[in-house]
Amino acid sequence: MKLLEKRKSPAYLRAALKRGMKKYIFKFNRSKSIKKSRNGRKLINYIHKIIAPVCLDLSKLQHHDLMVEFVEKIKEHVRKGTIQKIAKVHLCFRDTRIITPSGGLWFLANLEQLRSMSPYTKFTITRPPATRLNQNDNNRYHVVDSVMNWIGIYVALGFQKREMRQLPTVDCWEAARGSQVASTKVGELLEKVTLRTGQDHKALYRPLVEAMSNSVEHAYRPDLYQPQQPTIKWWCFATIMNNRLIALVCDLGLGISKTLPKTQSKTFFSNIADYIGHALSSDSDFIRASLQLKRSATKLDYRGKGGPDLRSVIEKIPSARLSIYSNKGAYFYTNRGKAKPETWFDFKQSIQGTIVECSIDLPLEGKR
Amino acid sequence: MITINVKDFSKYPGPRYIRLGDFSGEEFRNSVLIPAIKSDDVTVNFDGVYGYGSSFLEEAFGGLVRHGISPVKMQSLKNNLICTDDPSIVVEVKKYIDEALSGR
Repeated sequence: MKLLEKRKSPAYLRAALKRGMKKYIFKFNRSKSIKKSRNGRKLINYIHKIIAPVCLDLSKLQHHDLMVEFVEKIKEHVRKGTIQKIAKVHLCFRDTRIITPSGGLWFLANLEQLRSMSPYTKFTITRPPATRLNQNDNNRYHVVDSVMNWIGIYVALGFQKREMRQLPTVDCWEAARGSQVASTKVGELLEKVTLRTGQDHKALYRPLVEAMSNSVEHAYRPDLYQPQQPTIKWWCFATIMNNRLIALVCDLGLGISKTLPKTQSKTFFSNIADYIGHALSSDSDFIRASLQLKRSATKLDYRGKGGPDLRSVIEKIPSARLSIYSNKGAYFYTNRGKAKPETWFDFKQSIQGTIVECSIDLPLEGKR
Repeated sequence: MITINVKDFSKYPGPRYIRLGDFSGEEFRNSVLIPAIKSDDVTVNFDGVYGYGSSFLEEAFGGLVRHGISPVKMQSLKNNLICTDDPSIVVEVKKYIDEALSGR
């Protein structure tokens, strides 16, 4: 008797109707090109759902191209937005379990630039899941979610920054951005990290300022860079991960392969071809060439010291690592006494910009 | 003898040119070094600064030669560079001056 009453109640009937509609619409949408919304009407403003990769990272071959494709998809849909018709994009981070400094910074830079150039987009998101920090700890933490919140990815998507549980692996991420070389910001950023770790990180000041100078001076050359000059030209990050201090500078400009031919003479390129063993063809060749500027003739001999500076600083610090990504190219230099400290290769997809990443080992006292 | 402390100019020396950002080598050269060198012998103290980009140092000191400061004054300046925090800075600046003098 009670069951019969329940089945005739308005709430039960409403739920049954909803279930039925859902089933019908699911079947309908599966076979038709024009979709229906949940209330049975024609779905007019379709939200484009883009699923983020498992790892937001640029350094590894298996992650790099997926990451670039993900951002390209976002760009494609965001550019469709107009003042009359706001584009709706849903970013689903349900699978995202890892975020690295290079991936996070590049993603943030792209989102901020995209929002300033194409503001007519409304984002919705599915937040990343909680994950285990290591195999010994069965607790799950919202690390990726927390990092994305902390560094400002959600703010770039139009959401407010939330108060989240403090995690030591997250709070040490520091970000800065600007249009001119901001040596004070770099110094203060490193000093903040110094305060946290109790160790001095002055050594990273020089490569970061030089990388930033290159971004401001060369990356958006007005004679080559077609779009309007951006309001933000560089993004900078400093973070501590796995007991390493990692500092990065990123720009979304032309890339080394496009700017180097404009700043260097033919003599330089013939000299560098002798050094490399063949004419420069790939993006990674151009990165290697930019690190050799000092040893070759340049149009203005006194200039072009920034590239070699990057490597010479890393060469002085034991177990330091330099990574440079520019367009499709990648170059890594590790000062760990290896027989071959340099590696370089090209990815399939271009990041359309340049990232310089320096990292150094922290002494064990500084371990958090 | 005038003593110039770079830390009085900025704790965070910046890029090469003024157009690229604050506390540039060009600004330091034009507003601090050249007026001082023209009036008297100069000692430059590099201590108390967070760090130096090579562009800053090259533009500030190599740029002096390109801006017509005489080799005699440059030799005097080379002998009056102080950096106890990182002595390699003095070596580097001397190299930039020598390079600029040789390319004169």
